[in-house]
Amino acid sequence: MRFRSSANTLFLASSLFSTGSMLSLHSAHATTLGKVTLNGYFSFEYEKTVSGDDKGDKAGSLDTDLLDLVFNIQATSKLRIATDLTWEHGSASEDDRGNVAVEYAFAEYLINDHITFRAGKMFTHFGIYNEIHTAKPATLTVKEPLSTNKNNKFGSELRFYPRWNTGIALRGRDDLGEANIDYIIQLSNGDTQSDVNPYEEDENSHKAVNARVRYATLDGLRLGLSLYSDTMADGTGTGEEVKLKSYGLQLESPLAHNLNLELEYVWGRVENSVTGDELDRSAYTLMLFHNTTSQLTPYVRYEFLEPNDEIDDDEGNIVILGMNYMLDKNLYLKFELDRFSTEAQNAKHAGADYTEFKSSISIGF
Amino acid sequence: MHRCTQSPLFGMLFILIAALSASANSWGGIAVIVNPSNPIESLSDLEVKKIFLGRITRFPSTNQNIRVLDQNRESDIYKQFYEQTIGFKLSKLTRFRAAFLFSGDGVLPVELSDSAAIKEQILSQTSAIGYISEEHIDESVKVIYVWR
Repeated sequence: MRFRSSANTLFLASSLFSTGSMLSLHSAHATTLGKVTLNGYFSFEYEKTVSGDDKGDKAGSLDTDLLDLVFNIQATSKLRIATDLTWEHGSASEDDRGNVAVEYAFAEYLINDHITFRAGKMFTHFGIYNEIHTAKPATLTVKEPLSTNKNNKFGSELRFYPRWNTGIALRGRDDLGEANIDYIIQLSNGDTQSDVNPYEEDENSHKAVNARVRYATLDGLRLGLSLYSDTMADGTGTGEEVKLKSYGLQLESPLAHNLNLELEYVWGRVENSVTGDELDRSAYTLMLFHNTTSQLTPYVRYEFLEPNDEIDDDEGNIVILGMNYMLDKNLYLKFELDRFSTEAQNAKHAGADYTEFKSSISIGF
Repeated sequence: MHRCTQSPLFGMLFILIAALSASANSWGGIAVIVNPSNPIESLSDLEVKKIFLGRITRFPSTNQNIRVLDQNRESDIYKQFYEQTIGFKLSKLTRFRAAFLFSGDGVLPVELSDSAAIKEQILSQTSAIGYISEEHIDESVKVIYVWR
């Protein structure tokens, strides 16, 4: 039976590869319609639990993962309107299936390279991965990190910071010779734990603040610091509030011999405003990848999450071994094995250990 | 007689060397060009790199915003320009640009089919900047940087 499962996995993986090989992609053009530019991508996935506990995708599933369209409208030389729209898992609203999302929709007014104003719904620009979580052509792996970016699905009660926010932002960059520095400061409604739509309405008078500053060189080194702070109702209707603070460190660096490193570390505190109870948590994602050829990039990623440092045996980690192959200029094939390990008190996985095979095709345009 | 037998050999060598030289010359350099009405007269190596990587959105010392034009991604000149002039491997450039686009940071360069299309766009847009091989330079465009 196990042999049969493995054979099925191999068959589907090879089918995926063949499908990708048969696609004849020509150069990807940003489609321009006067002031409007259209880009996007499509991704298709297959994943299956191949060993270990009864977790993950046991049946093995094909997934119309995402169709993503990005529109940039250059209304004037200084005014840009941008939106990223996604249709996830073959969305069919009549049957309440899949997901449709406005990843961002904002207007941006450029004063100069140092100062740009933005208003609308936008990503929380924290660390490396949140702002590119939908951008499958930009990420080597099949999925974004769970530990730092979807920690609520890996044992934490709350995310370190919300995926998106609605508000205003100030951003810009400056030259430092061969290097440059960029920043963004966002003031927003923050998130809610109730039915209130935070992209329309704030449930309290507190505003969330997010800030990030990054230093980058032209050879690929990038170092950044992030901060997120918000106060929100705890969702129980008692009037109690939760204070959320998270701090992040990111490092992207080329090493020797075509080897590269990506590191994201997050530390956070959740505090109940009435009882004063505090919960500290932390996580990191460390990835090494090797540009073996201009097309082939093998990678290894280690993720770690400590959901609550007061509890000894609730930690989780993931080890990923995989390869990203650029079959054509904008066609990527990804294959990987993800080994999930958690301790007994982990709120989501409760000691489960299992391995999933994941693969995807992503096509940028 | 001896001279006679050598002449064809020297002739063939001469033709071969000449052909190789012509081939090398036809590759030539890469010129970064703008509209003749653009006040910019020249750019440094660093400025060219930053403009084509999206790290500068205005022409230096002006308030003029920049519209970057790219050659066809399948072309040799695209590869040569980014790998040698800019110093980015294409695989790295592709990921870099995807992150730039999907994070909402900005707009990607407009990709055009060839040098003629680049020159046509340069002529119609004062904010445009592009690159062509040196052999395609003519008086319709202003050259502000040459890489050889």
